[in-house]
Amino acid sequence: MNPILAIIERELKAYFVSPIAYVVIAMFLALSGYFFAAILFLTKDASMQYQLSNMAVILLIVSPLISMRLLAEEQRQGTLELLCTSPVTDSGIVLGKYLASLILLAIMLLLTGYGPAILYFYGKPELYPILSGYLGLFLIGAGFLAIGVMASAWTKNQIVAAVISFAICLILWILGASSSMASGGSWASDLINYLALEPHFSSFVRGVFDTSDLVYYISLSVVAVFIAIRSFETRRWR
Amino acid sequence: MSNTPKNPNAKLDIAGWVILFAGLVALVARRWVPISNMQLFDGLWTGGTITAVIGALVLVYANRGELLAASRTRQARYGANSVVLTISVIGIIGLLNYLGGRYHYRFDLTEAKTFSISDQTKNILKDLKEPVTVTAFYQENNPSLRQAKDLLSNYTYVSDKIKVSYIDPDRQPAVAQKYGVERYGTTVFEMGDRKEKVTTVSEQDFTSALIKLVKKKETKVYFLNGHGELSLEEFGDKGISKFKEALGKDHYSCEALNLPAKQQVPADADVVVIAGPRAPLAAKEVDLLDTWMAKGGKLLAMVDPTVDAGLGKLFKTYGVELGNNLVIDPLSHSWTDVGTPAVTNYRWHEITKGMAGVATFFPRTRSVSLAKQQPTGQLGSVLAETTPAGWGETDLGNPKMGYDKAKDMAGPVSLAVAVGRDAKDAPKPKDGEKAVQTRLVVVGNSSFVSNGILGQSATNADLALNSINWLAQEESLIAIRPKQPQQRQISLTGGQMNGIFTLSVLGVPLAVLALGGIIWWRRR
Repeated sequence: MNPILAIIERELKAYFVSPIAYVVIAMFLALSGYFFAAILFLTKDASMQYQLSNMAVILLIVSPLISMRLLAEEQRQGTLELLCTSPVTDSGIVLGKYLASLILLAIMLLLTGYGPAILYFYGKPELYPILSGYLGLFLIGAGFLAIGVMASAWTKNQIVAAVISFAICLILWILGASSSMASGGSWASDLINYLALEPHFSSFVRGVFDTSDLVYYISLSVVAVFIAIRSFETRRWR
Repeated sequence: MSNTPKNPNAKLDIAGWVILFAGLVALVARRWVPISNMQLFDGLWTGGTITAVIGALVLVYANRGELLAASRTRQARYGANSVVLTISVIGIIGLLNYLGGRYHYRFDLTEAKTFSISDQTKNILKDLKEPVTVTAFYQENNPSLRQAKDLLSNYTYVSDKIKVSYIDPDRQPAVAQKYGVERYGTTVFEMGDRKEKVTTVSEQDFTSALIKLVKKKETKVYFLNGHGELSLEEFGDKGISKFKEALGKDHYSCEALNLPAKQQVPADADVVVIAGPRAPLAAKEVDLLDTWMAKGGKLLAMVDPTVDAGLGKLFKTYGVELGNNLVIDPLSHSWTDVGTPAVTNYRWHEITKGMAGVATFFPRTRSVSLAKQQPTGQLGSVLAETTPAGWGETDLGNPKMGYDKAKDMAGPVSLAVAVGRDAKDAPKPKDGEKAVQTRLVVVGNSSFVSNGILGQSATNADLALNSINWLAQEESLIAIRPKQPQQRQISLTGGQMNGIFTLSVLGVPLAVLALGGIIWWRRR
């Protein structure tokens, strides 16, 4: 495990040394902060329901920016060779970078904690739906980042990686928004409906914890990271 | 690299990409095809798929040289292995998800349990013996569709005898016609050859439909009149029209019954209710009721204090005693009125199963208790009683009310009882059928079900409805009625709003930027 921890540390240091990370985080906070305030004033409701749903969409936009440089950048800068000579496996590299991005995600979500704090200060929100909502947000963010790592492993170009991951996440998101019921009951439409990102998320936000949604998100991240590792390994042959 | 000349293949290559792209565009374009044009919709599917496949084939042909060479390399073989491995992993994960979807646990974390269904619905679902098919006819973009899906997913979670499918009536008008669906947003419940249509999305209405399907016939509740009883048709505070409405939702049909006119208790009567008579029943009426009950009749009697309804003797044969008193509870009562006991002490019974801790109000009640010697073969239970500090005041004229050991009944005073026994004069039950029972519920007050008081406490309604349910031997309907979702309001002043806005949009993000700036500057 140690080499992986080293990768995580290296990655996090790289993030927080560069100003880009702060800009991305600040952008995320500003956008989600605006929606938090606007929704709160409109609904006057002591809940984070709609705010969290909004934050998921903002994450959809922001996470490609975080994940794009994970693997693509290294390939371009050629620092990949250096990494590969160190005693860490390919999967270790990918995992380490992915986990580092998850930590960044967690930090971003923690920073939005002032929102619930304000709700508690002025009203009586329910604790568990907020907690499960944040859990869902973290899970969907982890999914976005996993897809981002996968895209980042496919190309040397950061921008291309960001665009690809954004496109994939967007398609998965839209699948849910226009759930096709053409022939309700056929396994194909059931599969498409299941793959949609958003429905699994919305139950967390409302305060329903369903184990099948948990399975879905963890599977999504596992598959994407797995593909990322396999793709990364084949880089050696190119 | 390929040795074949590039030019002709380059053109084919481009052609291949264009054809493939055209095919994909056709497939995606189906999203924007107007619903009325099914032909175009299907045509794009066939045309698009064929075009895309042709495009892919052209591409393969155009690049055949390169592909052939590439497939021979170690990279290709490794790539093939990798693909197989990846597909297996996806397959395993897919299986896990499928299992995870079928065997899953839901936890409703909201305080009001707004996303769970009530125990009442759960009991009905668990008792389902025949499969129920639910078909929901909603347009794709109807916002209520999501609500319906959420609600019905709770139903399928509890019982696998329920199968749900969603149909867009615009895309499948033939099916909608077959079911006789006339409005968007209709949900049809089918059991066997019986159908129930619901046009709203609410647990109450969906479950009512299920109840109607399960109960093969309507249960009839007759309300006695002619003695100044509370009236079903009265919508004012003193009427019981709301009680009638609530019974209707649980699929009981209510009718007034005038015994002297009818000369007997109707054959289709499942339950008879005497709601607060103010004059005594004639001896003949009591006899009719007695005969009916002995054959397996079910009676709910609510007799107010100081009223002699002529039912004392009948009740005595069932071991129930009406007190000639007014119950006072100084410890637990409504507001400042010690004469309206608020009961939170319920004895264990099917009727009171879910009511613990919630108060029921009885404005002006007498004691109703079980005789010390209960008739053989009978099961009698106290349903609700006052705190030990309560008593039954017999000296009603005296302005100084106090517990008089000699005359008054000591607390805890019982206010409602339920008795049941196998019916004396009923035919013996056949194999697999339950024995017909005679059941009696007596409450010392009738206004607790009146329109004005019924709404004051959810358990007032529960006590009344559960009594009817128990009397009609429909145990699976005993439960607390569904709750309303809570709204948690926050009100903010203009200044507070400004502060929150500044903090959220400027304060926190700028703090982060500042931190970044400091670190960046330090590194220079």
